[in-house]
Amino acid sequence: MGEFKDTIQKEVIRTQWCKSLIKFVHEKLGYKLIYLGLPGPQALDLLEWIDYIDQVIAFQCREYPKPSSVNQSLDKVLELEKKLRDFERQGKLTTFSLYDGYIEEVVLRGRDINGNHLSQNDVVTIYNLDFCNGITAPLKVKDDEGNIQEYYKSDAIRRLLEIQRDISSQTRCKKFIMFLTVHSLFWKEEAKKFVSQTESEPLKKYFLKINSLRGGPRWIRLLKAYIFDTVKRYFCNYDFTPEFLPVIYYKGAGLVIENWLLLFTIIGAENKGISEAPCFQRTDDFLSQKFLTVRGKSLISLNQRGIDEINCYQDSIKAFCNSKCYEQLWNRRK
Amino acid sequence: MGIKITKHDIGAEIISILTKGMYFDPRDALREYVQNGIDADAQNMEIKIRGNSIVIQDDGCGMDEETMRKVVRVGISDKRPSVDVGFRGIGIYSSFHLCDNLRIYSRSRTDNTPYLLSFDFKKMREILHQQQVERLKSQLTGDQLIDLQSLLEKHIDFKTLGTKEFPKVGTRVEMINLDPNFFKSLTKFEEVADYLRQVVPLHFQSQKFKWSEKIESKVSDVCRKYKAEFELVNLTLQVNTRIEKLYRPYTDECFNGEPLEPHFEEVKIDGYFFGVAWGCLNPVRKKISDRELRGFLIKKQGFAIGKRINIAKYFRRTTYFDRYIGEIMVVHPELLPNAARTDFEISPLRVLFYESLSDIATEYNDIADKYQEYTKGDEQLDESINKLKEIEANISFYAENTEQLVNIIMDVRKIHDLIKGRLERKVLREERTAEAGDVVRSARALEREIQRFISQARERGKVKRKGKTPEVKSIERIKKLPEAKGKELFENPPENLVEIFDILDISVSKQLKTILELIDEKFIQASASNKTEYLSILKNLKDEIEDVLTEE
Repeated sequence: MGEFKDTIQKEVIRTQWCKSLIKFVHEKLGYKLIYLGLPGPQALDLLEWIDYIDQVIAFQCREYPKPSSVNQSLDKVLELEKKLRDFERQGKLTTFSLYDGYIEEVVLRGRDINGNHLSQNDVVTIYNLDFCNGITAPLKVKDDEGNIQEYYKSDAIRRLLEIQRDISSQTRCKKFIMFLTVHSLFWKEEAKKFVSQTESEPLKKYFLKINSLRGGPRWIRLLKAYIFDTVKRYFCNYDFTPEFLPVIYYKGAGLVIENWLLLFTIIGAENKGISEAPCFQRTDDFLSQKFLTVRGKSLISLNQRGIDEINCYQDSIKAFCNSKCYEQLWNRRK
Repeated sequence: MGIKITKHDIGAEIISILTKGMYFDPRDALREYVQNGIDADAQNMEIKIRGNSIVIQDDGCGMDEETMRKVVRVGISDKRPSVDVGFRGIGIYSSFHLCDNLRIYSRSRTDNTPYLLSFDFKKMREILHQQQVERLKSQLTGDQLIDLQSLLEKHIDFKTLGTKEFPKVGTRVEMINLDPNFFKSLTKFEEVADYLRQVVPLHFQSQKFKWSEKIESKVSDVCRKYKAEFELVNLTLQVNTRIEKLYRPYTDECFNGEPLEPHFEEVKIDGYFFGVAWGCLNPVRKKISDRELRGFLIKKQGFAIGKRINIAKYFRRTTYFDRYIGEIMVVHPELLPNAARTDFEISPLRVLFYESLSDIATEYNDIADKYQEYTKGDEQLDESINKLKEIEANISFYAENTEQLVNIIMDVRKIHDLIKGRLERKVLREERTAEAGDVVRSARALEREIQRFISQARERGKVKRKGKTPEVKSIERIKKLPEAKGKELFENPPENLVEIFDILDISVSKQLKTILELIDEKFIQASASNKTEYLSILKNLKDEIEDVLTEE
């Protein structure tokens, strides 16, 4: 969850990639969507997608990256709250709720720094988890006894999926989109551990394939593999079949190389059975896809020298509609 | 000759003093804004508590420009006290100490233009605080203090909005940047919901309270008959992501069994009609367990006036008051609540109202009294039937034991006298009088049989008896007695002495509990020959203690 500066890249992704997919899902499901995530103080994502959204569950920290404290300035929280209140007053949202703190902190503690308990009363249809820093970097927070607790984003994702599984809804089916933005370069040590410990044959093969790459190109591919492997497991464990759309590699705010980000788009659909939900997508099919990136005002495939990768759809709807998950779980009339 | 008053004669501090004095509980502000919505004929209202703000939105008639401008008035209101709940012109400032900014958006059906009225309470409070500090240091004289008009003029803003800014007809109140000290208490869903359920004119939850429809329709009918107005509202409460529609707090579960059918009383005296009361009695002789719901609550136009306990004194016996759940729905247009809504304003009408309340309290007492007697009668009748059957089953064992037979006769006579007494005093349900007659006759016959039996035994004592134990002829009569009916009506009997106190809702300290256990073991258990007898002693003891409490 970084500082909230908008960039042309973010705008392209928000308007071209995400918005069209959200609109498609909204039309497909036939109702307005419930958003959970980090819209940022200016709520730019929401502003762009508001026509398809009905309710918002938002998280906003006070002074990134400092640990949350009630003594910090409330300005950012209040700025977002005002935006959300305006949307509601203007009839664009039915309602919203806003939690004060880091998402992983609120989700894993079950309450925000003001003591407001986290609750979800219906199926979330858009998760926008814009972490902007390393997926494996823990958030250190003092608990009530003054002990330092470490909260991991991956645990927060898992908990959110658990809540989603346990919720019962009369009006909404459990189909949703998860946008997951993570930093691409905060991840070197964990990557080594991931490579050495994996027992998955497709992953081992993939690691060999990218062995010739060095630096950024290698790290982002390892991170792509790590997210796929981890998040897929979480989805399946909680009875959701995931479909990973092409990953977008883009530059966030700021000038340094460390600000390059990866946006994962994962579509989930409830798929209950005796054991965990199946994943129709093959590991190598996903990993062998090229990354997308933003050039000017367009999304293009990113060609990387030294590795053979296949082209992918630059249109999120096409990417989704051509998946087996869509065919099996979304396109069937019940 | 009158005296000329200028704006400088009314200090700004008055707004702080008034609101602090009138609204002790931060939830009172919610009630005030809900009242405004109801006065604007809203059918549906929402209260949303999240982040650092509270929003109260209604679908009432909204306010046109002129009405919006009048909202800022202090102590002046166009509302009609006879019909509207809020009419003092102060409620709008109820959040003065609660939030930094109050924003009121409204769009009326008539002029269809949205307006925004914005109050900068934070600035106002800062100015008043600064003034106080300077006064303490004697840096300000009374003449230099800011007047109310100037304070309000500088910190209230009014503007017209585009239709997109507030597209719906109705009013939306936003309390922004709440004081964290107050806000914490407002984020506890149950606490806020409980408060609103008590004070706001909500509908009953018909799925959970079997008499919902009957009460709503009866109250409406009575009010219509007297041409009195009475409104209910649909209220949804949201605290963070928890969203629930609120109803009046009464459910069948509040009672120990199915609540008895409500009894209605018109509250009237000397040609004055004040309203209508309803009350449902607990089906067992026990207090309603939820202290917050015990007894009757006075409501004016659906809004609570004072607390339930305040009117307990009008009921002869608090015990009876505590066994009811009910409401006194006041609709008289001239009987006005005081500003703090703790009572009605002092007036001759108020005196009459409380007189009529005494009358209806007597009615409710009599009903509870009668019910208590009836249920006791049921219990005694059932116990008597069971006891007679038990005697019948065991009598042959004592055929040779004249001493025991004499004791049994005493028991039978007791039963006879008890039930006969009830019949004579007419403290038995009509439908059970025939059974009671049977019991009296059977007891009498049984007594005669046993007496004859004793004589025979004594005779035989002189000449040693040979052959079988003689039969007791009254057996057939006893067999004809009905099965005990009322068992399911009553609570399980206490199983030990301490439990009696639990059942009667009397708190017992740890030390006293130990003492009671000792008495139980050394005296009560020791005096009983078997468990049945022990339980029976406990049951009688419970009844006697309960009677003592009732008399109190």
